[in-house]
Amino acid sequence: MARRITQVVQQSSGGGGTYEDPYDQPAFTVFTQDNGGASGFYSYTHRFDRHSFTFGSADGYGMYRTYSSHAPEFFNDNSGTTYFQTNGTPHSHNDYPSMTCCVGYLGHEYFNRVGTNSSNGGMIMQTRGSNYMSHSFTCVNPIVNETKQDWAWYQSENNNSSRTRTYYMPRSMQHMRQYDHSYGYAKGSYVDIPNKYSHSGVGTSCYNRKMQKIVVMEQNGGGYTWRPTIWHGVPNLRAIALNENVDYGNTDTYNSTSADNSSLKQWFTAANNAGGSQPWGASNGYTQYSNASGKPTNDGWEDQYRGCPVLCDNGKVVFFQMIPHNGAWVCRWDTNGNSEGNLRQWSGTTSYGREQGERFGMRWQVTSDGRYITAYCPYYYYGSGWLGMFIRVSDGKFLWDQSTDTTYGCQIAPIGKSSFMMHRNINADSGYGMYYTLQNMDHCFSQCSDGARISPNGNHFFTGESHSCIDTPYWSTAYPAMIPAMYNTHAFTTQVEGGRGTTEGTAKYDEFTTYE
Amino acid sequence: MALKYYLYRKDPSCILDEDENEILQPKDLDTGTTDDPNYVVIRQDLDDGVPLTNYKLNSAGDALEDVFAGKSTGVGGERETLEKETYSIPLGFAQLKESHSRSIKARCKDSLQDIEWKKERAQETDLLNGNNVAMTAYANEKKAIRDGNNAKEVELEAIAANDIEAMKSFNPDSFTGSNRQTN
Repeated sequence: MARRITQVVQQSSGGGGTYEDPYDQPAFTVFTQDNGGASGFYSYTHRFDRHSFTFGSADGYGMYRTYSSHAPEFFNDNSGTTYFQTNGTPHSHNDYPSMTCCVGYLGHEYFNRVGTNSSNGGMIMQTRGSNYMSHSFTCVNPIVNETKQDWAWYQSENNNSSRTRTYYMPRSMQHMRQYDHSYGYAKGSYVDIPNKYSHSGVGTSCYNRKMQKIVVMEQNGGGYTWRPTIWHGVPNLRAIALNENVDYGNTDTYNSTSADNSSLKQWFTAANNAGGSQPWGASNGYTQYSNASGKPTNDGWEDQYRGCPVLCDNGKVVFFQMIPHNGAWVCRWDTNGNSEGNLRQWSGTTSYGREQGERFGMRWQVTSDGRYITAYCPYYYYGSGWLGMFIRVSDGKFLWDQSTDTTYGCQIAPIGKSSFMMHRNINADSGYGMYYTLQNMDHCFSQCSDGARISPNGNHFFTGESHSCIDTPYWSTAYPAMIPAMYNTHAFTTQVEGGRGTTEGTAKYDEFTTYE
Repeated sequence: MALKYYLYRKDPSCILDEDENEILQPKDLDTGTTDDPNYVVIRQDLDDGVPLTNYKLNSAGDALEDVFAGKSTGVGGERETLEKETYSIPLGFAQLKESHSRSIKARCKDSLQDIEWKKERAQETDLLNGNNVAMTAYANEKKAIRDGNNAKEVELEAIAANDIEAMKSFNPDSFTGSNRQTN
């Protein structure tokens, strides 16, 4: 079995331990499949070296086959469905794996992704499984300033008038599907956060690891008005998620545990009792901000119950929402908790949000170092085009970008330490392969003012794509899909000397330094 | 209403971008120096009430025009329906048809390969029996697969132009002699 992390025992006197090359890990996989042709998964590292692959043909005896009666059943069952075909583009009438909304923090809705230790590329699911997995994408909560992105937290219950129900577990769409949808976590492994304003949303909370605070966005019972509540001094949610134990502080009794008395629930109860109107520097209690203002228009389920909030280090909250059929918008709260109103509105046309199915709607991705996050949605119908924003977590500065493309899907993934990669699923035929652009967030945010478009040196995410360097596993008409990988994000912080500060004006090279 | 820059792609046609700031003419991705003729940058004052998807390049190639002027807007409105029927569905129809055509041939090839083992058995059977009955049956089975392929292609061609639902429900794997009758 291949192992993909380079591990070298450090010989210098300054440190010891092992060295792991963060850029030698998988970053993304390119997938193409044609019903009657070659198909497969080619995975690439953060420096675009080849990582691993799974490849087969439609009719080759004695090899891994992706189609025909001799193929594995998942492939054979689904080779004729557009969920897994790359012979078309996602416009007004079909699911394709290249849809903008197919990718997010959890990877790709339709595929099992590759991990750091993978020796082969990805693998498809059954179409049933793909629809199941989309559930996790819908309800995963944003995480920022977290370098160890191996966990996730979720909230899936919309419009409850008293609680916001949350789940904590490994970063895996399968885990969430099983425990929430199939089990309902009946033994009390969920945690209910008391609502302070009105009703719960879906996937509308954000954990800022560095500040040890969360923001829970509540809405007024489907009335399209949102309000942030900040909870201060929150316990280490990663530890809770990866120990799979919300009852971390109590004696193990192995008896049936009530959802009302787990350790984390007790913490929220105490925080609730500590009271509201706490200052930003508080380590207990909560603070309610003002209601959102300036929402340009309303549509339905997606903007009633979903959105991406980002809790920044200085107390600002930035909130992105897709408004199906109308585009998207951004609202921000200042450091005093007052709404700054509508700071950016994207115009729209017919587009599908969560109300059309869990595989549609807004998604988010975060850089490997956790310092930048992007929230985005498709522009057109099922999932072509891209509307979205990028946020610097340190201070709440945001930039935006867009493509009003009605033909191609645009899929984004973190790459390297603090960059994003944008893939546009243009036909890979004739030796062009995968089309993509890269943008380093440090550079973008140093070049563009608050609220401006991503355009360092005049380049948007959708101009000047590279091609002809990233091969795809089919060499005729193919509109590829990209599958973000799962890798050790922490290595981009611990294995790189120095680094940039997280707040503007601070000296570089004094943060994240782990070597003498 | 205000003057903005618009980036228009001719094929597949749509406005790719709008910006108050100047949009640069995309360069040919192969050379990186010459203008890409598939793109046009236009500065124009468009009606905010008209979806960008309703604007297409005029015949002179120097301005955008509302191709569904006077039609109703909103979700389910005439503009939405016409845009879908005129531009989106034909594109998807053509992509699916091309794919289905390849799939029929691939399924035929796979089905023929699937029964290759019968050839040796038929040859031996005929040798023992002193006739060609088994090989004739084998040849007929292969012919049925090829005929099934051809009939399926005729069926595909018979789908009315831009009937996207019929094209989506078309099953290229299911034909007489195919080794996979259901999808």
